[in-house]
Amino acid sequence: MDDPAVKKLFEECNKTAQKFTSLYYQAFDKRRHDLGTLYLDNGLLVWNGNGATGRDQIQSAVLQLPTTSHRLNTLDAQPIIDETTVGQATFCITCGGTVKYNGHDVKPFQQSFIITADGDKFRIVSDIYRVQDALFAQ
Amino acid sequence: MSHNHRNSLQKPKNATAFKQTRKVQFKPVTKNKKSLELAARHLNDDDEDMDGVGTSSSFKRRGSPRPMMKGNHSHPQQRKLIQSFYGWYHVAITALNKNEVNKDELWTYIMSQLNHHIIPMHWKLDNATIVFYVNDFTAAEKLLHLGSKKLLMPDNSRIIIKVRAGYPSVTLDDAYKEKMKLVMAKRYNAAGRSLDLSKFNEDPDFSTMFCGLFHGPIFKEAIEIISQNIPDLEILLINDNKISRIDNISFSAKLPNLKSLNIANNRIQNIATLSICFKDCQLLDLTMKGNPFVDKLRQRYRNEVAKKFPTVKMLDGEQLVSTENNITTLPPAKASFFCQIEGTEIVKQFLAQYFLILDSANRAPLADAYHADALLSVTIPPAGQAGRIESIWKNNRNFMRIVPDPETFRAKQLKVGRNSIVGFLCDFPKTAHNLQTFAVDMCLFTPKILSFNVAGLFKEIDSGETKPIRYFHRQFIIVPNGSGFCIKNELLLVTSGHGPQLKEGAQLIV
Repeated sequence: MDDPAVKKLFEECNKTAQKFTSLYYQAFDKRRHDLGTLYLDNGLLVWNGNGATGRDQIQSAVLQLPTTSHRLNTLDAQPIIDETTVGQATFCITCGGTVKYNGHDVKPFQQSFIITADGDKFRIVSDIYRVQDALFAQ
Repeated sequence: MSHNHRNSLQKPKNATAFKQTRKVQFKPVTKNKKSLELAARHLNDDDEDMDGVGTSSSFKRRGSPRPMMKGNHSHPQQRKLIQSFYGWYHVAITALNKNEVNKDELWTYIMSQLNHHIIPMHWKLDNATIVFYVNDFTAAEKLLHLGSKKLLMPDNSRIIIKVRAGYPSVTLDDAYKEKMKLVMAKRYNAAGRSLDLSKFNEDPDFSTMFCGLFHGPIFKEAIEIISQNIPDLEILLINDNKISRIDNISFSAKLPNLKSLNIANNRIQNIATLSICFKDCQLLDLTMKGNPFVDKLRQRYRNEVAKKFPTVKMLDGEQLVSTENNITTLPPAKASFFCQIEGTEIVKQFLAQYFLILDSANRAPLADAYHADALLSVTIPPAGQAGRIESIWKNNRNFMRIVPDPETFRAKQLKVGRNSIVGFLCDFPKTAHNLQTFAVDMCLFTPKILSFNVAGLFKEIDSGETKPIRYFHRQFIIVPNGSGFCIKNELLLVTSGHGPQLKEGAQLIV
């Protein structure tokens, strides 16, 4: 943590996590047709245990969800410092808040991302989304 | 032409009288040279009266969106011409001591002084005043500059030049309409059923004529011409015309086959009036970027268009998909997802071991599950959502907490290395988990790195009588280590059980 390069990586991680999540939920709620562009070509979305692989599948999966309104109230992120991520900033992000799906009550949700630098942008490697009581409410 | 100079020289007795006496008249009522000159001087210093000076009687100022030229009122020579939004300027040249003027003589004199080629348009001779328009800023500026000098014609008559922003008011007579029709016909592509009226007034055929589509009556006439001559038109381009509003036109009635419209780079402020004009049109392709309302709507733009133009499939060259939908059904939730089936066993074993130790009296053996440089952090939602989870609150690393020095705070809250992590885990309240309540999602499974999430219920069993039901959500990054695996990153979110979780949790966890 005292290494300046590591310190810089942490700072970048913190800043990116905030920017990324703000962009992500804005896209999810307001411009969902653009959400797919935030993922890597072979990115993964797991929505309440339902997987969608690849940008196109993800895009079509999210377009089949009701209109949403997300409010984020927790956010945490760490850099993945490992030989597999050398030279390519890769961060894991866990966040949560409340979500209102059209026709449903407001519910807490949690979400975890792995994002990685892809050229000058960060893109989603994986995205795991859980509505907190979805398994129990059925 | 003149102002009613006699009245304007008299001090009005009261406001009403003033109002009445200010009425503009275009016939000279006296030939007194001095009063004429005074009147003109008075007017020269008074922008408010610009309508009265040298303007054709058909020109309307009131309520007009056309910008007024602002000038220095006391020194005409310091006036600066403000660039007109529409690019048109009104020029009035008056020979003061004359009731009639030889316009050729006056014009020749002005040209000899100006040193700039100008194309006067829509020119009119009104007694001793020549009125015309130019659409060239430099010409307008030069005329204004010339007007700030004392100009005397060879016969010593004084000349006044007034310039301001303004476009001609045209009479849509048959000749004018015919000219419009010719230019439009030239721009029509019969094979594509498409008409390109972009930058209409910049057409070379209009070099001596004003035909700005931003002028409502001209726009209306253009649509009328299309309706009468090419009612099967499918594609219409009216981009780059400085159009600020379109109303009182029903396009579905006038152009029933219109499928594609380009109205980009105009000055339209309001999408609502636009959508009324295009109501019931079967528009598929719409280009509207470069209008003020697009910027005003910002991220709502595409949704608004989807709502107000329900038939449109392409907007600004991109597919238009509304995020507003009528779907209310959620896909059923599944308890687990594995990106690769081979990962299932590893995760199962890992979880069984991990939570067995976590729920035991001695959590120290968990040290072996972590990499020497492992990172762990905890987030807890604000008390407003989950109630304040007192037992672990001091570890809360939530980025959304407002703290004086976020970077230092976040570094301090992070558990780095086995000792720090196991220390935290040992301090964590005693727990009872039930794996039956878990949701497991594995998103990464490679020989070098794997990642999965676990979420589920647990009971805080040493929190006095209450033993609250909590919900956790853990993100693990796992790397190979010797013959097994160890945790490199762990992000733990802890919150209270929600809704049905509380009842089920109480039943499932003893």
